[in-house]
Amino acid sequence: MSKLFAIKQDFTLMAILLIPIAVAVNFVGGSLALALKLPLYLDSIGTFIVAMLAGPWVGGVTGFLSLLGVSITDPTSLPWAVLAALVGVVVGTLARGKMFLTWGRIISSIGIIVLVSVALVVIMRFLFFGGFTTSGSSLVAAAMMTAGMPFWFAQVLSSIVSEIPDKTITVLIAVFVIRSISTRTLLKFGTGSIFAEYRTARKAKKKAAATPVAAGTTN
Amino acid sequence: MSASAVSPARTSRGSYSDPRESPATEVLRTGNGVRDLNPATQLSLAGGLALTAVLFGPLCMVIVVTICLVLSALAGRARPFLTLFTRTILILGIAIVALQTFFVPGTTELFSWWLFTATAEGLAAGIQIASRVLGVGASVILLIQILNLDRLVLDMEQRGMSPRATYVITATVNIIPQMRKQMGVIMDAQKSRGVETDSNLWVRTQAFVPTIGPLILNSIMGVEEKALTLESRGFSATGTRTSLRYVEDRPRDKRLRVLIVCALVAIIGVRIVLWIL
Amino acid sequence: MDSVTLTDVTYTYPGSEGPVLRDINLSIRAGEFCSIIGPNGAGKTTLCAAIRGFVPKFYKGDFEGTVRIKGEDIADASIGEIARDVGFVFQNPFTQMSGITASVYDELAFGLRNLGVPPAQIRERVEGMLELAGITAFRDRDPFQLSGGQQQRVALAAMLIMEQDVIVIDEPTSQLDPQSTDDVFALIEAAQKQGRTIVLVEHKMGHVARYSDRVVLMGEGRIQAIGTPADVFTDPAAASHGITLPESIELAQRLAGHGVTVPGSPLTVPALIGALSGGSHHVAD
Repeated sequence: MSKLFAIKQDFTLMAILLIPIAVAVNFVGGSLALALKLPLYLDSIGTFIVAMLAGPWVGGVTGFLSLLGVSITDPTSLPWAVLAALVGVVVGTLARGKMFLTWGRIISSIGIIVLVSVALVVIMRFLFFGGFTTSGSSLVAAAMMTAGMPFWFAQVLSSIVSEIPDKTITVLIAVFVIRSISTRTLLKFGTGSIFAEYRTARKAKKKAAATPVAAGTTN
Repeated sequence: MSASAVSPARTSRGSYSDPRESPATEVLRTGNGVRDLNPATQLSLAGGLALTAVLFGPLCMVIVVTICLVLSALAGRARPFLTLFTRTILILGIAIVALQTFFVPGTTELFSWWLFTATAEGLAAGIQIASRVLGVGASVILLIQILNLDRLVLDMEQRGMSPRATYVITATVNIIPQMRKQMGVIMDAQKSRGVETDSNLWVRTQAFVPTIGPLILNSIMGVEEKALTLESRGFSATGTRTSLRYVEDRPRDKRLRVLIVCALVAIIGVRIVLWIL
Repeated sequence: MDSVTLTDVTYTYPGSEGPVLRDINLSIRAGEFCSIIGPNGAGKTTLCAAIRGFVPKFYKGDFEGTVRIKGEDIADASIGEIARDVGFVFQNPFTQMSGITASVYDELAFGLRNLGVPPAQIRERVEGMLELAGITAFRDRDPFQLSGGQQQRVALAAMLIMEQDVIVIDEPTSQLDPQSTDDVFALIEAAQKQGRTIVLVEHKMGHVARYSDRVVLMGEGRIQAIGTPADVFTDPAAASHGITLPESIELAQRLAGHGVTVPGSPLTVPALIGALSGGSHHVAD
């Protein structure tokens, strides 16, 4: 019960208003990637940003709603709403665990996100569609099997190949956006304030480091 | 959507006042029997059909798809149903059958073609999976055809759902065309700066961030003002809310829902019996 | 009776170096049209936010002093509760559309529905407000499809319909063309005539001079000058804070430089012409 209450607390008015924007960013990002003929999906940038600002539950809802929206024009996408929600939860949890603050941690976070996505893609594709769909990475897997690779190996490898560049770029854009948001705005968001506090702390540290030097030169 | 006399209404459990109190409340109605079912009825109908298709094999799938098509036709939406069905679900279904036939290893070889060998085991598995996909897909497409978003949201409010939850759904649907429009403007600016969609991959990748970045940042900046505006307009007010519109939940809706639940219990029972036998 | 009273208000945003508001003492009478002017960064918007309770409730930070609305200290009231007494309109009309309504009519009804006003009464008040704001012509249009000026009038109308006693309006016309600006000001004036207290931040000094009962000049977080438009615009502080004077006052001052004294401080160009042609002026030798 107390846990449920905590989830409800994540959905502040600011967080609520962020969700529609994030879903729209996912749509626009996805269609922009298509328009620019990029070999990436880039349709979860909004989910990642929301998860980083407002935490795992708001991130999960954003991912879920995005795929629900896609399903209106392409019902075959519906099962992936579960995947998008879970990835949102993972990104939000990582953000809450301060895993997007330094480059070292960002790289480990990308690794974790890719691992989770690949596992989920492979498992869900098998559960819902028997292992094969008309998606690019699925057809790559089929080609690899024709070349003699075993089923699971082909499934995992083909997913990794498509997930690594997509999730890396998505995380980088999300981090870039978060870093461009003013401290005052970041403080309005539950998880976003982690980034704001880190920024303030670093500034204070720099100042503290700079002062003795300045004092030294005047002496 | 037409205004009409207020018919017998149900007192909402949640924070919404009873629309019967006022003749100024308008009933949200389309004039079509299927589309005017209560959204909860429509959801349980589609859910029941989808579950039936998952539990049983290809024959049942054919029945489910037929029911979905008939209901869509009754809703006056046969053509959009068929268009969406053939363009998405049917293609995926055919691909699944083909891929499973050629890639699932088996002992019974049907025929060989180039590098591929078709197996009977693969074909059987493909038909099983594809029929599930087709059945669930048809139910989802039926729902897309008959469920009206305004009515769904209103019904959720009448059932006591938080205004914040319904806000998210409606605002999401409304904001997407706005963002598309804004992106169009930014894209045109990019093009005028020479970033053509047919230039090399690196240039196109570089065009992505400056196009979407400002759009996201501007939107996030606006969130603060929007939150304050909504506060000013009583969005966080506790207490009873009122609505100018109203979605009916007629006795026949309730009877239909009871019927769907009974049918589902029977279907699940049959399934269990068949598994045991 | 005082509608808005600020006593010794000093405020610092979280994470910022110094206070944005310093020792603000200000009383605004009920039904008064009070404009706040000043250069960028003077603290005008923050002052508005303090009246509305957003500072410190929404923005957090260090807040000292008290803000009273109709004599009541708002420190213990929630933002939602204050909303019933104080309305707020922003600069950007786009962010002020609720985002969940399909027509201007529904947009105006939204706030009343949240407060649980009975449907029949909502319809009556919406019709009245459409009329007052002169937006009856686009009652069924999608709010997002309107022009900026039309949207701003809808935003203002959607706020006015809540019937708060105090309306705080922050640079409503900075993104609008002259015609839309006049329309918005006409609506603000209509609201004042209904007896509401208006607190307005505005850069268009001609309009400020014409409509305001009182003008507050802000600079570096402090009140630099306060009084009638004529007092403030002729105060040397106005010039030293980079205020562009209303055309009529600017002209009167230039004429004085050429030896023509204009009696009084005419706040509009017609008033200036009237003062000059009234024969009460004299040309110095």
